[in-house]
Amino acid sequence: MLAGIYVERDSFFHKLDPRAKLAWALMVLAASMATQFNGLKSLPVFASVVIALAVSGMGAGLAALIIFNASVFLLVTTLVWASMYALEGTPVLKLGWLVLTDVGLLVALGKFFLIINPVLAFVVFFASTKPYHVSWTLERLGVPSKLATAFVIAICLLPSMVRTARDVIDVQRARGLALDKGSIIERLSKYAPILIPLMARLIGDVWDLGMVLASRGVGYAKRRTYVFEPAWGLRDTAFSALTLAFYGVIAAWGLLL
Amino acid sequence: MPEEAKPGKAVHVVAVVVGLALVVAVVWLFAQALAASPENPWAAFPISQIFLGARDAMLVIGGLVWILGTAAFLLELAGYTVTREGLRKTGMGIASWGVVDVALTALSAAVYGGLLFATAPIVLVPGFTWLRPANALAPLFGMFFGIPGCLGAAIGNLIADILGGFFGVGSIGGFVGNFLIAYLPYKFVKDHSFTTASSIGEFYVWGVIGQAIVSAVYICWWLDVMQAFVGLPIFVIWGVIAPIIFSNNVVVTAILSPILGRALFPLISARGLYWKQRIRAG
Repeated sequence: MLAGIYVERDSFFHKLDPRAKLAWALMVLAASMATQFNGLKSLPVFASVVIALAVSGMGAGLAALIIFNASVFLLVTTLVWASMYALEGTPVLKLGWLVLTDVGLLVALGKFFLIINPVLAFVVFFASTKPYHVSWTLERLGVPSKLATAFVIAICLLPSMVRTARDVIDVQRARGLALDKGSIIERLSKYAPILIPLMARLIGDVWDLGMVLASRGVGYAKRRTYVFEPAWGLRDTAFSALTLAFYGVIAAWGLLL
Repeated sequence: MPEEAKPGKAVHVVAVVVGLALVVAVVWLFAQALAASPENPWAAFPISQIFLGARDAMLVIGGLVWILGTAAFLLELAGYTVTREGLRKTGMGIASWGVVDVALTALSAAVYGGLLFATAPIVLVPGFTWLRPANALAPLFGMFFGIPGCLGAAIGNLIADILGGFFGVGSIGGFVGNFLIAYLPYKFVKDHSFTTASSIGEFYVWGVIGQAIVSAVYICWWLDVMQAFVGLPIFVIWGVIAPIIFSNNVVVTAILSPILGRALFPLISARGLYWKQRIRAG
């Protein structure tokens, strides 16, 4: 249960120091922010995270699935951002009141990549880093040990919690709960039969999880100790230098040119 | 609070009526704005106009809210709270946490993050915010679980940001902003049982109206100050995101949270998880 979204593989990304991977994910975020007003400039960042997903052993299939699911974001970003920039650039398409210009489309694409690139990067980070090492990395960054442990447990429990939430929604729908009918107030109040069972599960799990943590000695020492600590090597230095150069150039391109 | 200074039942009834009237007003005003200007309802939405029109004042008020909110956040994590008598130890700082506190934080974050993920598919402004019925839980986490619950709400929101495509500079404001959504009712509502007029009345003041204003101002002030990194126009920050946060939080917590709180408090109390029981036991 506590594996979360970690996937055991023997890939290049799995062998990297978690700090190098976290720095990479943050560089992807920074480069995506720097190029958010021009989708063409953020395209290389997108290509790099898809490659990372393949290199981390997750496979191009997962990348395709995530990108397909994210296509709804592309549609919404196009509608929202392209309409905001309807008066700038050359009109490409007119759909009623919606005018799509070349500038608007570039901004919409850039905003889409701003959403999808960091998601893919953090999927690579969490899928290729053991929860144990995520906690170690957070502690190295100065996060208190108990807070880092709570964060990692939450990340690990998230997939099962999402499944449980969807199961409860399905069960309540099967019993006749129509979440999409009625006024806003009626629809909101229909969430009570979904939220109460989920909270009841939380209440039931707290003492069990507390006992598990107590049996592992969590909180007895000020700082948690680790048997297997990652060691920064030449591979990590080379990877960090290369990614810094790559995303640095893209960020400068996005900001300066 | 001395007995003679306690507000009467009428004050609490007024607080509930004002909170519910605000819900009706928000929904009705947005429907009117949508009918008047379907292509850009925010331009016609009075709450957007209030936030946008008062942007200069919001920058000053937001700065104060940010300083006070961040100070409260850091002090509470360190195990201190501000009272009329000055700083006092709470026994709920991270250093004093036991395994149950760690478990409560983790599970609150997982439930909150999971629900944001599973029940919130409607994106209003890509990359920043969306409709969230799960928000109804955040004030309850604070009221029932104390500081671990407040941090659970903050971490849950951060996780949903990271895995949902909303992670960025704005997430720092969102992290503390969500902490404050849970913290205000935890700190200022005296009776957390939802069984008395004072409990429900105070919840509407702090858990509905107070947290909605504070979280909207806190998060949007941060987005405004960080505009160079965030890349959002001022109109979007104060004219779209601020009214969305405010409207979402008011509507969702006014309707759902009291129902959930009334049903869940006895369960939490019976399991010995209510923060006042654990502090007393500790």
